Amino acid sequence: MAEAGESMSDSMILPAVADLTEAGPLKQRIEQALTSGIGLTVDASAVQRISSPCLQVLVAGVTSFAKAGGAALTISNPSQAVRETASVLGLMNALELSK
Amino acid sequence: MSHTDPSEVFRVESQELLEQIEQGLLDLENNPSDSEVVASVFRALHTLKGSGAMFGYEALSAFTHHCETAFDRVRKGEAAATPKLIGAVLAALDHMRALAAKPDAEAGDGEALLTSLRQAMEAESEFTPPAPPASKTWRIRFSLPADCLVNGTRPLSLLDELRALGEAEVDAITDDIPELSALVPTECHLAWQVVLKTDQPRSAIEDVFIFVIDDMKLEIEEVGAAAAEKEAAPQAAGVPEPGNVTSLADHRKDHDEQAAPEKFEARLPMAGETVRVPASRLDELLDQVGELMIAQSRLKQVSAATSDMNLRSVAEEIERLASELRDSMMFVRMVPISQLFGRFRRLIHDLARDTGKKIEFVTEGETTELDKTVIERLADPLIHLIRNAADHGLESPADRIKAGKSEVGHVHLTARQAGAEVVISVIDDGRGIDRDRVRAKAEENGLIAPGTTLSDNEIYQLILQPGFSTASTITNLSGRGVGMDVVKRTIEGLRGAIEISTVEGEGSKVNLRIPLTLAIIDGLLVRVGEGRYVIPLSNVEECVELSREQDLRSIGRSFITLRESLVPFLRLREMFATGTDPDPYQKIVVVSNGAERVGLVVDQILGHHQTVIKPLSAFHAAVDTFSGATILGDGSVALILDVMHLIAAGQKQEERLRAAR
Repeated sequence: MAEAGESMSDSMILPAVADLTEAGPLKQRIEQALTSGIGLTVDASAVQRISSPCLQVLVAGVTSFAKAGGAALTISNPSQAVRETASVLGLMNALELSK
Repeated sequence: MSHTDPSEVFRVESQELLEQIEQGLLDLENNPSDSEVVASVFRALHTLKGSGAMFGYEALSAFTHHCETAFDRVRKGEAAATPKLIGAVLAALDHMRALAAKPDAEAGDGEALLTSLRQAMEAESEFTPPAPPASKTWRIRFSLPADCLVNGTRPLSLLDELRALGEAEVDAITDDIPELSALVPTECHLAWQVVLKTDQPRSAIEDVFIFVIDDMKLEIEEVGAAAAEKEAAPQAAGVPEPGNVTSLADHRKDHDEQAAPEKFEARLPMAGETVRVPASRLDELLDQVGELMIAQSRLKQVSAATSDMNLRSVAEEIERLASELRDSMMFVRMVPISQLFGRFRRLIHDLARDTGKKIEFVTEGETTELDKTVIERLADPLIHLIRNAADHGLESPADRIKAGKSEVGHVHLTARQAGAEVVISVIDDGRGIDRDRVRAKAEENGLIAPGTTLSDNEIYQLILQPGFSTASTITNLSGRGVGMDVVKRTIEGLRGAIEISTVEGEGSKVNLRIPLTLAIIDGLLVRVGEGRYVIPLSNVEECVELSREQDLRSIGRSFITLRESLVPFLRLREMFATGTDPDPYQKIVVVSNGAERVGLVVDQILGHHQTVIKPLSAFHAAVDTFSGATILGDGSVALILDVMHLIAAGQKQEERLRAAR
């Protein structure tokens, strides 16, 4: 799975403020990657504020990718804000961020 | 009806919360260990933060968070409400007010305020908390309604609050999240299980969910030591079985049985069932009640002229109902004066700080009720009077000791109802008003001729003259931009009166006499020529007959002797140029504003009339002899006399006479 992700992976950058209004576009973007069958790396390094709707979309994305098999959705370089919020919401495991 | 702007709603709410916080803080100054007050301040800060974030006042929310954190520590007994901390939060309140008024205002001195808040907290770090109550472990499972995110509920802040209560282990339950394609990004499908170790009672946990509790699923259970171990097992973090998640109703039921008293305490603040209604709607309603009263009195007249008993009994029934409706309407508009008094505690707090005086502020009669519009208009005059009392009336601590008084100065603010009036007094125990200097200043300003004989009361009334307000600091009542004449004008605009009394060296007292309501008055209906007029009954002292001989004798000087004092009078028939012959039995209605008396000569006294005041149109606003109009039972209009103005006119006449002597 990891190998496939390496070679055939798309990537996107999460905006600095990932709030309710960003959840829709984020969902579309992940769905796109899901239907095209290639992996998606979400760069979360620039995020200063993220709220639960976006994280929920990411969780749904991670699960959907896992169900489809093959490619994966990975969150790369999560910023401090992303880590904190995910940990407050108890989503570290679901987002595979706990290391 | 128009839609309410949500941010306007927030602004109103935030004002109330800020006021509540301020009052709480000032209470704490006197009694720092009152845990109920600490809790109420905390709750208000908490609500302010929460609804601030909900309405997009991010800066306010973030700023308030720091104060909330500070008070959370006080609430948990980790810190004490020291004067330093209270001072820091009070200072921060003003900043919050600014942020609430303008969400995107510059940060300004926000940083400096936070620094001082932090310092106040650090000073407290050595504080040894009382032994905390034994902590318990709770397992909390909750899920939020799907639409909670768009409604402004933030799971993040709920969880933050839970964590603030103690050591929390949060696990999200993600099983309910649908497939990505089926997921509506604005809906919340997450559920949580939190294992919380806290010394707070169950009610504190429920408080976290106070805004959403009605729509959500919440399950709180205490975990025993054995259960806690089981909790550590990996599968425990999974989904609760459907049967386990009881609905809130069930949960409430069994909880009520277990811990009813605790629960009751937590619910209490929500029980206050009040409805917020814009004042303009109340005015509209009052206007309609007024119209109804007029229609009712016409019906009464019609029914009196008929012998139809059915009509008569219906008319009587309607009369009773209408007057009850009017009374309830007036009652609805009444608000306790505590709203107003509360603001001044802060004023005194600041004045004491600025002037370096020690001031004790005592209020009495806060439950006295007044019409809402009256209360609003009283704020400025009272601020002025209190500032004068504290700033100029009270001496410095050193001077007070020299004068043999206690170091701490007192300012009393009292309210009481006396008949159809409310008397508000501002009393200080300062140096009092220097009678001779007031007199000298008035002569200098040309307000009175040198050597005029004046009673003490007349001299103190001089302070209220416009020419006096710009005086330097010669009396304790000298102005600060807004003069005493403004106080006078406002109070007279409310159809009230001002009384000043003072004892040199011992203090002064200013009484404001305000009618209970502005909307309906008891009036004396009189006839002058062809027209009918209403004189506010509260100003009427007595009615005497003006005999033809007296009338003839007094032409050219217009004074009558009433129990050995001379009272000037005005012939309304001449003033209004009715062009009619005087009634053979003219009457004099003696009106007074508390200090001065003037007689008004009318042709006939028709009797008592309860009057719904209608303001004059803008076109007629400049006519100052009349303060309004009313509609009589037969549909005709009667003008309401402005007694204050007439008294002033009568006094001028008296002055002219004195000058001529």
